[in-house]
Amino acid sequence: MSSGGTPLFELREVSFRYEEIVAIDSCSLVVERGTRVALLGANGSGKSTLLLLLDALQPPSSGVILFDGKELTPAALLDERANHEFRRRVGFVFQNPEVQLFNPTVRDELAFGPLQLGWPAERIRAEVEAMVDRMQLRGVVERPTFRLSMGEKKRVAIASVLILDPEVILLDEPTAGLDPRSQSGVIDLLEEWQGSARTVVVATHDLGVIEEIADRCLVFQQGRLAADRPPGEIVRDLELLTRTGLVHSHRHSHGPGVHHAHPHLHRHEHGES
Amino acid sequence: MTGSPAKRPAAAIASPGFRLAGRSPIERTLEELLRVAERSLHAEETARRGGLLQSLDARAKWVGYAGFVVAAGLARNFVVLAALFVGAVALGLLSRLRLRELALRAWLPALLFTALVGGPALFLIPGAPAAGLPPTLGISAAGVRSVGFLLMRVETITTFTLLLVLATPWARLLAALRALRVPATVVVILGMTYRFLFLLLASAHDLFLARRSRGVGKLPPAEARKLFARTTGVLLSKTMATSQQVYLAMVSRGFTGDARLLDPLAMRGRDGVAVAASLGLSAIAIWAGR
Repeated sequence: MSSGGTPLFELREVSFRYEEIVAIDSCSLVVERGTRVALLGANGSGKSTLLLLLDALQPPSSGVILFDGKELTPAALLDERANHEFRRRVGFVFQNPEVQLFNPTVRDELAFGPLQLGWPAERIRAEVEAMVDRMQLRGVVERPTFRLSMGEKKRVAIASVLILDPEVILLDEPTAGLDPRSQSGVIDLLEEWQGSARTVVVATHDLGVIEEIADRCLVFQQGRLAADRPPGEIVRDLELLTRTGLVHSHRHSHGPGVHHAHPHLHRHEHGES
Repeated sequence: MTGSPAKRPAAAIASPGFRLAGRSPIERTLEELLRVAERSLHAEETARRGGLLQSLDARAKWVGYAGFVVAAGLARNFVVLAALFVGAVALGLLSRLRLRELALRAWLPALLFTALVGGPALFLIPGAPAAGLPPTLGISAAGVRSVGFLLMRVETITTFTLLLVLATPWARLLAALRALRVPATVVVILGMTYRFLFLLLASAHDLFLARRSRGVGKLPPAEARKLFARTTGVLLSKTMATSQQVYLAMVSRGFTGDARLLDPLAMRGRDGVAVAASLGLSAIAIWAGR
């Protein structure tokens, strides 16, 4: 499915294998500029691999990926200017913030990306200060990154990508492992981008938030695209969710002596009481 | 061994292999290594103290370091070696490093390492018995001299290395290597090795902590060794995968192999003086220590 906007990413028959394991199997899709796309699927369905391919961190085993009309290949990114341009335009927030925080302090971490892209020192200092305030990191800015809580690490990881002001943000399970307050902060940020020019691709398991954070859902099953529909339709399609492992059956009691198994979509809503 | 002590057969609890949970030597070693790793991160703090070495350009420090290490490696005169050692300590004090920091991070580990490697030479090198020691000990004067040289050489080189690392932020050390035309691949490997060691230690610590949280009793030594061997392989693979992810995260933010700095490297007059002085002193030490 495509909403008819300008294509930013285009995948044509893309496959990716980790030795014998097929992670992405003949995937063709288009991501339009300015859309918010959720990638759904059980563990091992290929969501994270797809994000690595979109960020050109892995080349596909076969098939073609186009970014803004140009083919993304390792050779194309060997050119420093082309590489800088792509890295400035596309940011990736990894699932595990530990892998993304490798500098001694939070301030160094925020400055890392702009330094690599060759921004002038004065601009970097100003942007770091602005990002520290925006992401409420003032209290931890001089702290070593390994001394932060998981929620703080996630915020720093997101800030370290946002500082480049990318037009595309790829996020891998942005709310995984966070307490409810930190989760809410991340979701607020994703909601903020609704209607902006920014393109967002989020891999998630969290069916409870996809209607808030995405305009379009791609459901993956064993590396293949199983569905491509609006989030509202996806969360109501219990057969699809059960088949793709996004909801599960479990046994529970409906009164004395009445036990049975049926699928559950775990979500809750805060309506008017 | 899992389960609560109440469920264990009394015989098992009474057996010689069973002790209440505590830290094994392996866990204690890992925790100590992790503490050392954490302390090395704190080197960023010592690198920001306003001392002599901290005020110099990282390239000047690399050049001076290379000169002194070559001099210490070639010296065959004990007095020259001792003079280099004293010079290194003086540089440390002028760089606001504490003697305790040097002792804990350089002298003590170097002493233990040398004792382990060179200790047997005391007995194995033939010659007249060492003066002041009973001949029955079998320690020769040549053995004492040889081990003394090794010890002094290792202590001196370790001290110079520690001065370099403690007085310079890691990113500047790597950037200086690139500026000195060391290939980007070597610098990336060095940088990734540093990060790999941190990840390895942290993963090992978590793994042993997780294992301890699932058991109340200590495994008998043979079982503990088996567990250690089994988990080492898993740990290495896991750390390799994580390191790869770290590298991808760096590439994703534009990293291409060059360490870039907010405050660029800049050679000033005093750096030139420092390079000339260190190379001059090294040349004198090499000549005098022949």
